[in-house]
Amino acid sequence: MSKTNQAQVVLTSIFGVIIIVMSVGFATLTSQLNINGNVAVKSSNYNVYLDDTSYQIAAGSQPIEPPTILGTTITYNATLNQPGEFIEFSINVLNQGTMDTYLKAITLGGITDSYKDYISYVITYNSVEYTETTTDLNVLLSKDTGLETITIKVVYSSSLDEVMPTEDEIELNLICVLDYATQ
Amino acid sequence: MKKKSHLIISILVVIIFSIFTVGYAALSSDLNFFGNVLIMRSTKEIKITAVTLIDSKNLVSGQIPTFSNTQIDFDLSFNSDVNPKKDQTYYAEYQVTLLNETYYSYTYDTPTFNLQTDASHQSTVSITKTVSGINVGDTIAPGAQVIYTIKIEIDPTKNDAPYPVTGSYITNLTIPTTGQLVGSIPAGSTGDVTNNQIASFTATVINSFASARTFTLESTKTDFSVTNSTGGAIGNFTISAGETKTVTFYVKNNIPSGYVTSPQNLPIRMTSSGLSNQIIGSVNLIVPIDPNLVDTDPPVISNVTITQSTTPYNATLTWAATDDNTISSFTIITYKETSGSFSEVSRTTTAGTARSYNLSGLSESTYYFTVFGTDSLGNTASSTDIANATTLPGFATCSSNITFDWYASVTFSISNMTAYDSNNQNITNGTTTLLNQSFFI
Repeated sequence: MSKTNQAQVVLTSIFGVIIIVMSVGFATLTSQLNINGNVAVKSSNYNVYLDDTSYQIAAGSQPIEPPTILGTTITYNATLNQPGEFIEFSINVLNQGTMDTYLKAITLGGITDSYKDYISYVITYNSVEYTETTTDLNVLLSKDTGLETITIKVVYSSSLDEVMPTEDEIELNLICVLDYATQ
Repeated sequence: MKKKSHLIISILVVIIFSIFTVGYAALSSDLNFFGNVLIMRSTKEIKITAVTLIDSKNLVSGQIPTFSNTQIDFDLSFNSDVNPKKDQTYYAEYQVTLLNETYYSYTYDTPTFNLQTDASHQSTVSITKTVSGINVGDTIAPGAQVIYTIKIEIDPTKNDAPYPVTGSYITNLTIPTTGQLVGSIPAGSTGDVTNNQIASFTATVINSFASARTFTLESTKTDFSVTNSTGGAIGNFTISAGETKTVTFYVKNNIPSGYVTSPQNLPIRMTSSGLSNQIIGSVNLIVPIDPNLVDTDPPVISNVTITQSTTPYNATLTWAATDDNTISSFTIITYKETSGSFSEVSRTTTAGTARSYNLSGLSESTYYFTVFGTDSLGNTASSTDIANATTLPGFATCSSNITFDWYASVTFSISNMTAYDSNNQNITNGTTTLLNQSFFI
């Protein structure tokens, strides 16, 4: 071991001893003072979900089988038998967390171009209708009491000018995803 | 030792970032709407909505046939006993209303139409059934109502007790799937229509629809008609689903004088209900040409004039022209004289409607211009005039520039000559404070 290294070890040991001595000394000196206080640290939580009690079918809508609503997911089934028929329902999204959150994007899927001639699929959020996937949104859903109504509408067009399906039955698997995030 | 420290720091950084990432993910969420929606084809129908008797002769029963959406059941009886056969007709004519309540276009295909008499009369009567007002291949649009007639006629060969006629008419309506009707005419098809002859041609048509279609062929020029073999109306052709069919059509000459002025190429148009018209090819017609009517005269071109433009290096050539026919184009040839010899420097074609042409980029020289005109029959002639022009000296080159040098602010004027600055702008007077400013005179 070189002389330099020996010196470093000695210095480090001295510093260690000094810090221990100071700590003990400080503890000893301040042990005479009692400062009592209660600090309540509130926990934060993020809680955005679908309110299953707010689910409502619109007037004129074709029947929709009772949907499954679990937290942030709703699954529904319906049949449109004739052009001109539609299904429409609404449900509230709640923010009961302690943080503001924002709707960042709406993704719509399940309607291919060949179906667009006679099927329209519209989601209404904050009074704005969306028929295509839309990103770059920033719609506030306030903390604690934030509530927004989401409306889903699927229309079987009745226009005689439209191309109509030639298949006896078409099964549409419709998807709508609302993407929320804090800022 | 150092390497160990680096490793530990790296691990700490990764852990910290991981914690941050997990924390961020916990602050976002998705709401999911999953829908399963069945779209059923419309159950609305295309159907017969009314059948009414509109005329009859010697029909004693069956005036009101029964019908369903797609079928009419006839139970008729004609009496040829009371009304002897001689000079008598026996028929029943019904008006049928067909309504398309669906959202689809339907094609009217060949219906099933079976009628018969009873066994005891089969050898003594013939039954004719005619459907008019609707044709095989016709398209019935969504919401459309079609009214057509069905006429049932018998021709008994002897007087007898009532002739019974029973049977049914069943519609055959199909939704055409995607398909095409494509036609073609063999290349080089040529026919002679001189001396009022009717020329015969063939066309091949392919029907890729899933149902029969009807089509017809038309002339695209009023001077000629597409006809049947006797010169009459050609009528419709019917082509089955998926069939490739070759049909014969005829062309006749409609020109009252019997003469036309040049051989003809006649495009043939195919039309089919519900489809866009299409030109399927053309036929070459040998036509009677009256030599007296043939135009062999070329255009007459006169007053060829060149006007020099105020813009340096530019000039405008104008001319007049007449012709018995349509002038299709002009060609302007520019020659340049250099030391007594001529050389062609440009050749430009303009539209037959043009009567002037702007020349640019001329250099300092003398130019000569001739104009050729060509009519629609190919007759060509040049102008009798040859215009010439010599560009103004100084426009084309800088050979005559003089440089004046100014050494102080000088107001100047120029007289008895034309001067241009370096931008070719005409100047007559001005003030300069610049040194060595140049003018071109």
